[in-house]
Amino acid sequence: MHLPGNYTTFFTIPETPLRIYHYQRVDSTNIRAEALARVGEPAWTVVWSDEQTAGRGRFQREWISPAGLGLWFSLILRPHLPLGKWNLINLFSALTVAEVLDEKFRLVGSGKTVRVKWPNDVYVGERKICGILLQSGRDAGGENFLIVGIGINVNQGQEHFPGELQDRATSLFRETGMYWELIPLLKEILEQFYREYGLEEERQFANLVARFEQKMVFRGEEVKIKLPDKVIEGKIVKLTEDGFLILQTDRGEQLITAGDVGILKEKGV
Amino acid sequence: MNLQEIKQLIKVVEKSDIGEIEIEEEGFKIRISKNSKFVAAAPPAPAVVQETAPVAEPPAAPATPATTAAPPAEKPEVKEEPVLGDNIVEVRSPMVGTFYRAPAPDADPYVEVGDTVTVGQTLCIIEAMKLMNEIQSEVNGKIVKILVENAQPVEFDQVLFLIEKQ
Repeated sequence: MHLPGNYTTFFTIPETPLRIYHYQRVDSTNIRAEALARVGEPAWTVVWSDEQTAGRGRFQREWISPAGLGLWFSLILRPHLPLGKWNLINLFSALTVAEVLDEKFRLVGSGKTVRVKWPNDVYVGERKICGILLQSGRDAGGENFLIVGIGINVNQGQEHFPGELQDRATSLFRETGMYWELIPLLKEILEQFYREYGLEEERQFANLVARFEQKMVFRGEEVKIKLPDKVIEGKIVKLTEDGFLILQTDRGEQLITAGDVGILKEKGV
Repeated sequence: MNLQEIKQLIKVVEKSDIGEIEIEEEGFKIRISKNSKFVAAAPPAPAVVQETAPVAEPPAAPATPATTAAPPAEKPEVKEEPVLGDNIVEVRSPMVGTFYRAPAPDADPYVEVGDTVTVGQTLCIIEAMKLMNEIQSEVNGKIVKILVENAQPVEFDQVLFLIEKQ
């Protein structure tokens, strides 16, 4: 097995193939995981870092990942699915994180519900608590791999978010008033991910879209979606079986394969 | 425009001297190109039938999203694969998504026409939801054509690049 340099600790999760390389600081866990996958690292290896100095979201947008205040990790997968279906793992990842966080909210009796926003954001109310970015590539042996990058805001207080994000981002701490230990939370998310993934893969992710829709914000609502070259408005009708979004616009139904979905209000996308 | 009309149109183009025709009407756009540059001495055949309309047909039509509106059935006129030069390789999209030529909006494109590429080199990204799929070259060669504009939707199996093998 290829051993990445400079990691602080390494641990496994019993009865799973999950192996976690823990770093104090990296540029981006996605970049590290990708480098490992390129040279053949098997599925279920995780790169976790206390801090990311160059955490990134879609189109290289900055993802703020301060030391010890959240979970910043990337998981290597090698899905046994046609490439054209790998995008379903967007929905799966968001749903899995949402379900674990929901369980925490139930534990503390907060009465709050965690929702998912198409395609893979996790929200509490109108604030984002977790962002996910997937990237696929091909390794030196010609095998395809998938990197699932997950960032979860855990122990940030309001003061830890930059001004423009204070109304748009939240953390487990902000929602529950409690601090959460990172390692047990990470293990729980990974274990649930592994367990549920096995079940979903067996049935080729057939029930996933329906499960996602149940927990999805803005269903049936008017939204605006930022596409690469324009913004369109319409009502979310449903998802296709491949997990894409169908939007009812004034020019008919339109299939959305990628874009930022925002509420049709002054706050915008 | 229905399937029958599209087929007729293809025939008309085929028999004419027109190299490429593009028609747009009420949210529907079709481009038929003979792409003759890459057609061998064999009889001319319309090489690429591409439907880029982002908007669905009138509401009365079945609720099929429009970007999937060019089913393979529309290509039967081209029974065989377009005849490309022996050393021209097509790079096709393995999925539905959005085509990007660069890793970020302000970054340089992965490749330009005329660039030499090697096996495994990234040519573009297809985004499907928030999954960024790198598409790599299967061959060593030179990019001779890029068939899709940046940030445009692509269909499964749509040709993205033509590469001249070296």
